[in-house]
Amino acid sequence: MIAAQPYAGRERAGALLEVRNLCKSFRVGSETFTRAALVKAVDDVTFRIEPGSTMGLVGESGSGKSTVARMITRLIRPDSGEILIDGQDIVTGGAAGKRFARLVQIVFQDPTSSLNPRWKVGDLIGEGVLVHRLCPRSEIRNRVVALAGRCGLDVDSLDRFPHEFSGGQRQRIAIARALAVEPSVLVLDEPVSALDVSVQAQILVLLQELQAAFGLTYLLIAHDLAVVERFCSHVAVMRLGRIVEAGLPRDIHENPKDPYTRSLVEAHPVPDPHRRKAMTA
Amino acid sequence: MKGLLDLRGRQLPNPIVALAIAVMVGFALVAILAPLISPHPPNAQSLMLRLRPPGTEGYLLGTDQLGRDVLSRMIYGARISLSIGVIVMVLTAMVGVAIGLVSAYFGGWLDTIIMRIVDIWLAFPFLVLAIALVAVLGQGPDKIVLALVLSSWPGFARPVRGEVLQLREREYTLSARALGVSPFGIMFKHLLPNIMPTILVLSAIDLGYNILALASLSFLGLGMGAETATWGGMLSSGRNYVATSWWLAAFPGVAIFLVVMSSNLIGDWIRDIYDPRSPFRAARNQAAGEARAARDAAAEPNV
Repeated sequence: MIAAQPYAGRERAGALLEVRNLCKSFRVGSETFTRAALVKAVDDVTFRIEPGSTMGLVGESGSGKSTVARMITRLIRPDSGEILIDGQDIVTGGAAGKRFARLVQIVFQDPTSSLNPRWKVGDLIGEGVLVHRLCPRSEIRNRVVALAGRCGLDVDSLDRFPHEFSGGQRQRIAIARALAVEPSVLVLDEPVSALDVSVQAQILVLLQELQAAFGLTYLLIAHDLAVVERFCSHVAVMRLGRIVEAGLPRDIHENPKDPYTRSLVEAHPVPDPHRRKAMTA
Repeated sequence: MKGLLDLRGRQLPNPIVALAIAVMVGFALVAILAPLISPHPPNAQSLMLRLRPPGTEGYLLGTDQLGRDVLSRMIYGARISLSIGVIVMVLTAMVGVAIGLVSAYFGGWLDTIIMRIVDIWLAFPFLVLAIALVAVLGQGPDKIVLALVLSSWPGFARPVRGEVLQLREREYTLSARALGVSPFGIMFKHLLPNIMPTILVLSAIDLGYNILALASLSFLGLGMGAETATWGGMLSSGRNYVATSWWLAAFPGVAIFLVVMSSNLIGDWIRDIYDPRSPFRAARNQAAGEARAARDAAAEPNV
């Protein structure tokens, strides 16, 4: 039963994530006889996240933050630049790159579309265990049960289909599915923006518990500064593919330098009247 | 995978579809039980009883120009029609779906090449292609199957590709890729179950086409050989006597019509079940949504 526990025998799972000079362009409007325009989706992005900490990546839609997330999880190949997890470059490696899937996983925004509607929840959570042969087939069920429990799902939910669950429960399933391969780094691509506000808080609390338990390193992509401020130790703001501002959440909140960051800060209501006065003064 | 063919909670087929299903099941039973229920051997001739009309003692549907029992030949013809129709359907589906899946999932130059081949294939009328292939390959059931599969696979490959192109960008596909699932694992374990409705619809309609094509080939004398009783062959030889002995061509014609019509109706019905825009589906989704909302409301405190 001990072996079935997630991250059993691993002291701290968290790893150092470093991203250096990452670039990615996309062709748009390519037809047979017209020249494709090249759009720089991500332009020379560099940051690092310390083991076990959380960095927020904020930006308007189209700013390239999701492209960064997809490059870190090896869904898109960068044009240039390095992505290092504990010093290992996960971009190179080709087909052997399957093992990198155990280092970094992703949780998507909308759990309705990130969970295959024709799979049962137990199979969805156990897929990573099966694919990477992390334990004998007979043990998979125990591992899935333990992990599901860790993420706040009960045993009888494992034999049901994703559409039978609420948004919050589905996001718990997606988190359990990602953690099944015991990654060190978890990329959270707007994990709560599709959820009700009351449920958002519960999912964020779960993520914090899991981080504390397993020492996970998080990259949180968001457009809600309130979430970022509460959840992250560092923040980077992206605009048009570049990081325009980075630092501690409080500094950015109180003294935004970039015009976009300023509009973001102003757009979000401050529940504390004293702070609000200080800001407008 | 489970729950895919689970029709509980779906609307029951309307009377016409129920009739179509009954017709198909009926013909399938006749085909399976042919040696037991056939009153005469299909090729037994009795020249004394040539061109007898339906209702003749012992010959319910009459006899043909060689004194063979029309009913028995129809029964054995059902065997050929349905078995070749189903075999061709299964093989075509397998080939076409595999090609469509691979083409869409890997994309790039492979997709371009495959789709240009499909375009070329579809530029020929299906039957013309089948006739040409049979002419090249020769007669016999195996050749017919090969010819029909070779001429109809693009009918599966193209729609499957279209659907996979959408599904491969879905987040559950990305999630499986991020998890390290192999391309073939994603194609067959994640994408295939989600395109199953499309495959079922295409298959049902393909079955009708195959039976019609087989009948057309037999009618043209390309096919199973003169010995074998086929609906198309009966139709063809009955044509010469249509003014005097209508039953030779009429009964095989009706059988072809019934089977093709039924398989098309069943195909349409399956499409209606799965089509999100169909009225049945909308009502079902609404009911499911309400049930879910009620459960969520009840479960909210411990989400």
